Parts: sequence; C-alpha cells; structure tokens
Amino acid sequence: MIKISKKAAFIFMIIMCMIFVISFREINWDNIKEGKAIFKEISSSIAPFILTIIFFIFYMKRIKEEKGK
Amino acid sequence: MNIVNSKVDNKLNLPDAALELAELSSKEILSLSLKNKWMTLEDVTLTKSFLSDFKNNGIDLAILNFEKRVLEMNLSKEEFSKKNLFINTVMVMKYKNPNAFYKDFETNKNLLSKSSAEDEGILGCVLASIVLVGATIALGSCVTLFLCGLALFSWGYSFNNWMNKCVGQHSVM
Repeated sequence: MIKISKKAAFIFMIIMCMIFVISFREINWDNIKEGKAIFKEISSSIAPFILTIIFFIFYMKRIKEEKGK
Repeated sequence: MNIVNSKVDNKLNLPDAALELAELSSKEILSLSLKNKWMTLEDVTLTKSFLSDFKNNGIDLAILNFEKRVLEMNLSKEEFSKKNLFINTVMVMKYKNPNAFYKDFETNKNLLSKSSAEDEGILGCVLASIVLVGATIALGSCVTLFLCGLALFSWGYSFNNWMNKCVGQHSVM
C-alpha cells in the first residue's frame, strides 16, 4: 500500500482539480441542455472529479493525523 | 471509368494520372499533388482552416472566413476562380441539403467537431495519462472500503479515457 504525504495529497488534489476544470472545455453544453448524451459528454470529467474528492479526503486525513499527534 | 460511364450513360473521361491516384493513400495523393503543382501549400492551409472552422464554428462562419482569406490573398483571376468554384460548390450543396451541414453539427458533435482523440491530440493524451497515474496512486493508497470503491471506479473511468485519448477509439465502457 502506498502512503502518500500531506503535501503529495494536496498537489494531486490541485492537479486533479485543474484537469477537472480543463475537461469542461470538451463538453458540448448544448447537448447537456437538451438532455442528449449527457453521460457521454461528462464521461471524461468524472474520473478527475472523483479523484479530486479522494485526494481531498487523503489530505484531510493527514491533517487530522497531524493534529492528533 | 467504363463502368461509371455505362451506368450514368455518359462519356466522362479522366486523364491516366488522375485514375492512378485512386490506388494511393491520402498522404501519397497530397504529396504527389504538391510535387506536380496541382495544388500549393497555400491551398492546403486554406482547406485545413476551412475544415477547422467548419468543425468548430459551423458551416456559415467557415464560408465567411474562407471568403475573407481568399480575398486577402490577392490571387490571379485564374486562381481566384478555382477557389470561387470550390466555395460555390459548398454553398450549392448547403442550399440543396442544409441538414447535412447543420443537423450533424448540432446533434452529433463528434462527427463534425472535435473527434475527441484526434483534435485533442497530445494534450488530451497527457491529461488522460496524468489522471490514470493519479487513479492508480489513489487505488494503491486507499484504506477504507468506500475510498477503495471510489478509487477503483475512477481508475476504470480513467483507463477508459486513456484508451480513447492515447490508443484510439478502443473504449471498453
């Protein structure tokens, strides 16, 4: 199991967040508005979004651990 | 040619050099056309810009930009009439069958707009690779069942995305 540091978790969180925002430009918002192929349009944004949450949780855990010591 | 002529009852005739092109790949046709001066690099750039405009902004803007570029080029009468013939043909096709130009552009962006993997190119592949690395790290460092489930889910998605962007249209989902 890999144990990532607080700093690494923070950097990964920022990177994933940036990629999540960049992935927005691929989305055809007209299709979303019309309710067509929503899943297909957002598919490339799902992974970076979930990973942002995961690394945020990792980061918060590290902070909690630091405070607990 | 004989088959075509017999079908449409015509006497269409093409030079041998043009018929030989049918056996070549698109890249070979382009290089041969440039070599034989059938078209210039300017023509290639102009056509690429037209296609790019068409994919990203729609046919109307593509036609407008094409006309603007051609006027800026200060071409000879002969060259100008060639470009004029091309854009007039496009406009006639658009007039005859507008759905072919608008319907696909609106409803299926992938057809005429960015063909995900191609237009995104290296940047798309790099970003997909970073996400895949991130997902692998998240999968390797998760502790709780919930986080491992999320990490596995995102790994699946990022792998699928990576396959699309870097390998081609080999989506597994």
